[in-house]
Amino acid sequence: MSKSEKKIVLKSLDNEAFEVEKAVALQSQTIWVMCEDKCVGNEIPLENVTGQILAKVIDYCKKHAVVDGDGDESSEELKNWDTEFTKNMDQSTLFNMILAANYLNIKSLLNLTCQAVADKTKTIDEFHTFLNIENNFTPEEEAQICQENLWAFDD
Amino acid sequence: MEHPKKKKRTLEEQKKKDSSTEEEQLGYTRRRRKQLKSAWSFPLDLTTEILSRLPAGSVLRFRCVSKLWSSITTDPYFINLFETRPSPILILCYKKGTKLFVSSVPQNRQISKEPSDSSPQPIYRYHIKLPVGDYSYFSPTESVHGLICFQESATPIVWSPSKRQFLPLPNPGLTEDWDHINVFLGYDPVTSKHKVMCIPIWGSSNVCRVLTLGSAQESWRTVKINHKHCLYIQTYGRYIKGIIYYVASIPRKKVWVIMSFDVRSEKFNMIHLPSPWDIRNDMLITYMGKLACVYENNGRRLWILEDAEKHEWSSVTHAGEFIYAPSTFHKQYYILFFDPVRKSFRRFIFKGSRGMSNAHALPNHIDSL
Repeated sequence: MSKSEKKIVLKSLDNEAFEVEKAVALQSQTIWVMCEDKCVGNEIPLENVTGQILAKVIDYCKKHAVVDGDGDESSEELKNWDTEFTKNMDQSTLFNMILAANYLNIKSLLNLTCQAVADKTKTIDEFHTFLNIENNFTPEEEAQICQENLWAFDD
Repeated sequence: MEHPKKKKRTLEEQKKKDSSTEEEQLGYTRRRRKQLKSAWSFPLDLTTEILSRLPAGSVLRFRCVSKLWSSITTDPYFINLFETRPSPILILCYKKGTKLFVSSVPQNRQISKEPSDSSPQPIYRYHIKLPVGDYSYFSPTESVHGLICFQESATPIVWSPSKRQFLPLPNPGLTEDWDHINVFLGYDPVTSKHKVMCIPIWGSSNVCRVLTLGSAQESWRTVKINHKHCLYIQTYGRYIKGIIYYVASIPRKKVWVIMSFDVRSEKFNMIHLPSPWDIRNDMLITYMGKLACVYENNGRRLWILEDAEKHEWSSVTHAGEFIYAPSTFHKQYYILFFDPVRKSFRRFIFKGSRGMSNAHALPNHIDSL
């Protein structure tokens, strides 16, 4: 295999190009399928991901490509790395990471980012910006359902 | 896409009405539009993924948000998904007067080599009035698939810590012998139903009684015990993968054994110990999904049940993470987690109320919806 075949270029929605090792990129099932199809050259256009998000996804894939398959110590280290990775991301970045992980089909990243959003979200307002929330209860229905789960509101 | 258009229109109407704060309104409309745009691009299955990772309290609270969210979170698929999320909780509870004080914290923490002390932020903390009774002897079972069971004299009471509900069961008593019973809680993974099993202590009965929770007729059924055995007061059950295990002795023989009760088939089995010892004061724990006996004699040894039918046990001296919790406390309560393999320990500190209390630490609880 020549050097160029080991590398692959990922192009973001905003035309930012990232050259990465194939092993790194193939953690994405979507990219894997694209490469298998051979319908794309060495450059893969990713229409749903911005450069800012793609850079983070690649960081994640690089870290996980290197360490995967090693012993217990490194899996612990990897866990800590994951925590640090999502720790300082704001909600907007996290939601975009979820969309990217879903589109690129990287299961472990999807799990990580969904969990991070769930852990960081305490009130419904924090969800309002990103999720489809339409209060279509009638006042009676709302009163009843809230009554049923009344205790959940007391902290 | 009917909804965003409608919203936009109302906002524009509002804008016209309220021209004095036009600038503010414009800002609001812009923000609102952006929100709606992103809202519509967020797929439903991903919303489900996120919601299923929230604590039970948040999920129940968010049910009031919209019909859509209410229908997502009450769907059996969702409930199943929620309950498979591996986020075990440590429940701490103590009885004070007629109330039960409950605290729950995430059990798994970042593992560090340094000894660490922490007062973890509780997932929930509440006190609740116990059903009427004197509870001279309050002793809850372990947490089995979201539920815990305890008894008030001979009446078993099922408790859902996440829903903050008690369900007193009918008295299982047949005769006078049933005034002193032991209560075990199990779960049938095939039918997804809990079962409560009661046996009189001192081995005076050759039957037990079983009640299936959430069945059409919630009543006690009599099940024959095919291995005669004696139970002592404070016999704790250990539920692992469809089987309840507990320590018993063979009448008149002074031999200690492990009894197993298959929750689904309702059949008993007797398992011999690796070596004969008085196991009464030792403990049965779950180790790597298997039953283990903690045997304390010249250091700590774990006997792990490898094959119940062949009565095969293996032995290790260092394993897993041990959780030490005192049975009584005064003002402050410490729970120590010690891992002999990693040589790490961490300590949880809880503040309780004044005076001595009998506390119970129940690990590996999973909140149910």
